[in-house]
Amino acid sequence: MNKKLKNYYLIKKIFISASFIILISSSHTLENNLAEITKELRCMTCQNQTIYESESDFSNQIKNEIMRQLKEGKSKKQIIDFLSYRYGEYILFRPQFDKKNLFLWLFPFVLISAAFVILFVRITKNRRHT
Amino acid sequence: MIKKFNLLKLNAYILLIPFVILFLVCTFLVYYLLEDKDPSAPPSALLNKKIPNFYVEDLINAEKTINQNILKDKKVLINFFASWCSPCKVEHPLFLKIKEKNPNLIILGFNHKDKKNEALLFLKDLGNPYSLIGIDKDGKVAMDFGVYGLPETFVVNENGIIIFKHTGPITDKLYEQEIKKLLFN
Amino acid sequence: MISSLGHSFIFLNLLSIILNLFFFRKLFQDNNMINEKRFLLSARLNFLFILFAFLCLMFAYIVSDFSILNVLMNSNSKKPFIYKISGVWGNHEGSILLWILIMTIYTFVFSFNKRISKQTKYATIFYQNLMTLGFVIFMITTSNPFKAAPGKTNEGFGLNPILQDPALAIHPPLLYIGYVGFSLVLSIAISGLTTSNTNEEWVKVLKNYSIFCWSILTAGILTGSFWAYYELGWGGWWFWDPVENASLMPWLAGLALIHSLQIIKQNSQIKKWVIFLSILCFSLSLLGTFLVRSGILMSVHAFATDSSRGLFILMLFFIITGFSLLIFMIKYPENDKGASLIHFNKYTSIIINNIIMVIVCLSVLLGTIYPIIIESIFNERISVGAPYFNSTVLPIMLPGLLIMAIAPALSLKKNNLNKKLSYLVVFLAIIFFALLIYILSTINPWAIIGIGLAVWIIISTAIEFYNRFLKFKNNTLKKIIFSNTALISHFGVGILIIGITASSIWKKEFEDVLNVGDTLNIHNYSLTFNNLEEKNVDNYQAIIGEFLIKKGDKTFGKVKPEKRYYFSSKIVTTEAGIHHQLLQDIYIVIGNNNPAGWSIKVYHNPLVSLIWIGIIFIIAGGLMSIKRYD
Repeated sequence: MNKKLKNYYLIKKIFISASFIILISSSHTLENNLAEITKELRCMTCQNQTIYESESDFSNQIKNEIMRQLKEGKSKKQIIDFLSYRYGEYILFRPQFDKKNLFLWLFPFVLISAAFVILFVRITKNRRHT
Repeated sequence: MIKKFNLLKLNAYILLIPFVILFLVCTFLVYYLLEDKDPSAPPSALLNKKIPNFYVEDLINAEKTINQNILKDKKVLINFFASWCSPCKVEHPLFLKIKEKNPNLIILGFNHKDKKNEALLFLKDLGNPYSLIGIDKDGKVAMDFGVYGLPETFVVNENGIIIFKHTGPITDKLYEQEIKKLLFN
Repeated sequence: MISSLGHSFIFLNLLSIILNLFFFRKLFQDNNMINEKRFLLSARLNFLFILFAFLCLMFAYIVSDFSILNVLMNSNSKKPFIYKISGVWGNHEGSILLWILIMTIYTFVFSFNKRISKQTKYATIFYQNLMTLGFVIFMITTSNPFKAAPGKTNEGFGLNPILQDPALAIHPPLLYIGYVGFSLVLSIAISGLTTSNTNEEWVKVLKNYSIFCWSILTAGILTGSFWAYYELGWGGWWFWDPVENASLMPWLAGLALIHSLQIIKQNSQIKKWVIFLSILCFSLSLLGTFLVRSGILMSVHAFATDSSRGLFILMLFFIITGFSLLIFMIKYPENDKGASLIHFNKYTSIIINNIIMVIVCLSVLLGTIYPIIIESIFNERISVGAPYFNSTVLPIMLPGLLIMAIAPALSLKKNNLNKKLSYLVVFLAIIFFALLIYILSTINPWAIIGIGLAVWIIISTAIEFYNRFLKFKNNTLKKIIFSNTALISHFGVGILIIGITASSIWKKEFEDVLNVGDTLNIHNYSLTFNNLEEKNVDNYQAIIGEFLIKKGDKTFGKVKPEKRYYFSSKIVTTEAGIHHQLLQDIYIVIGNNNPAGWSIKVYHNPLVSLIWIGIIFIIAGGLMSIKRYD
């Protein structure tokens, strides 16, 4: 075997394995994205189950649709908008951060900050007295 | 003196907070209970939105296709059904009755994830109330309509806006009280 | 026959409650021994009658008396004996009877209490019976367990198969002992307030009952969670389901309550707070009951319901909570000197614990009912699920958990921490190692935070235990352990956090389609699909797979995941096959049968056992801290 041919095979080998790795890693991240998205979606035909965990027809169809859109290069936000336009916000287990859910999202953090501010003020006040 | 008075007043207000929360929580819960909302049937997201575009093959006449343009300027009743869906059989006679009483009404059916011959057999056995039937083999149209549990029924007005949606079989009561008003007013 | 016997016991019970309330009135007019005796006797009879009614229902289940509607709907003659018994509370009507039974058991036991002042004791029994009356009326009007069945039937419809499970057989009674026990806590608190008698004995009694209820509630949640783990087949054990939240809310309030009871001696402001928390605990139990029974929330285990029941429970919730709050407001004790918050002592740390627990509790409440509020206002439905709770509750809990580690070592009065230096060294060492691991490895930062936190709690608890051990060297070990039960619970929390962190972050899933004889490799283990058999058991048909777990040549064990089909209710359930080890669980679920074979899901869950062990430590610590004062 001459050197040129050897090189050619080597390059070909590297190329194939490289493309294989890229293929695997890209499908890997696609799968991760799919899991990440479906873990926060409600299976509409089940009881309080996520689409990720469910094996129902509905969930499988949504999984396929999301996979298709991911392959098209759609972003997570676009996919979530697509689904919530059709099925309503009910399908999202993570409530959107918008005007109507503002109270829901801010309540715990505002309350805990306020409580700690009051606590701090009282402690320092008491300290000054003693 | 004034300072002490304020302090007392503040305390009284703080004591009122649990009451206010109690009243609010109970009000919402009672309202929700009396409204008789169904926990398994959320209000439709597509209500008051324009109907999605679709382009499907006709079940009866394979050469024909159906798209959203045929719904222009008319009130239309849309129903998703399948031969494998048993609640669909329950509501089927009602659709026949509606068609019989209102021959001019367009009832658009979507045959959802079904086999063609089984669907045709289903219609042959039970009768065909539909003016047109589109084939939704892969469930793509259903997804655009936000359908997840068969049967589902929609009413679309002249402007192509969805003004009613129901998941599950429709009943006489539902037809008389809600759907009729929307279709013929 | 049984039905009319049951009815008459319920009637007698109603009578004895009314008599009891009547005698209570007489006690005020003429406080003599005879009236006292009558009052106590009627309170105790009350329990006996409900017990008999309950036994009647249980008997009806055992002999499969299908002339009773409740038995007809929820039992089946072929059902195994143990599930005939647990079937009694596996349905709405029976569980309400159980609720009342437990309520009267508490009253019964409490009526023998000799520590608390007589006046307060009688007032407590009075409040307790008043509430019992509400529930008895609820049972009679909307959910009579002895209602006769129309016509004659030879076979019942069977218990919901999901409930035919050992963990779920004991789950409701445990949960109720916790939930319902808070009613007595509430009664004691309110009667202490109305009789202006909140002395040391009152505190002790309140402390004992609330710790007991809270510990058993924890056990109830544990069994529920354990059940969800192996029955639902999703490999998880907490789903932030509305029904789970309903049990979590009183648990969190109870947690705040038992902690603030530790510092109640300090001043009367804490007393007010304790009374308020007692009200909160039972109110949240009632609200939770409402959420489960009214069927307004979509949930894994919602009961079949109608709205009249919901309205009645809501009414009970409103009246009991409103009435208690009203008494609280009117009898609000005179304000004395404010809390002595001098920077950092045990007192402050427990206040921080209380603030955090109450805020977490309110957040869970808000998240649970927010969809209802939104739908009422906007006619739109939203979901508030796990992502919301994980991203609000966990960060709020974090400072509390940090402080929890050193709180037992803090001095009650002085601004002083025993062995300050050792804690500081441990804390800095943990931070240092955590940062080091964060920089050098690709481990998920949440895992580092979780494990770091757990190590911090465990080491700090150990240091404090060692200190106390040195201090009380001459006592027996048993005595030392029993006087430091809080440390046991805190140690359990550390273990629990490791379990939660590891099992949620390093959980791995494998999915494949297998046929009998195939082998699946995960990590260093090989799972061989050995056998598949169909089996007819009493009331269901099962497909039982058998998997051989091997590591190299060594056989580790066999697991048998099942799929069951229950004839009478036509429901398919999954029973995961789990190979439990201390350090990991291998969790196998049989899925659908495809043309290519069976789809099999395997979860590799590291350290799940630590969750159960941690919770058992917490419960043990709680139960051991109940003191006998006689």
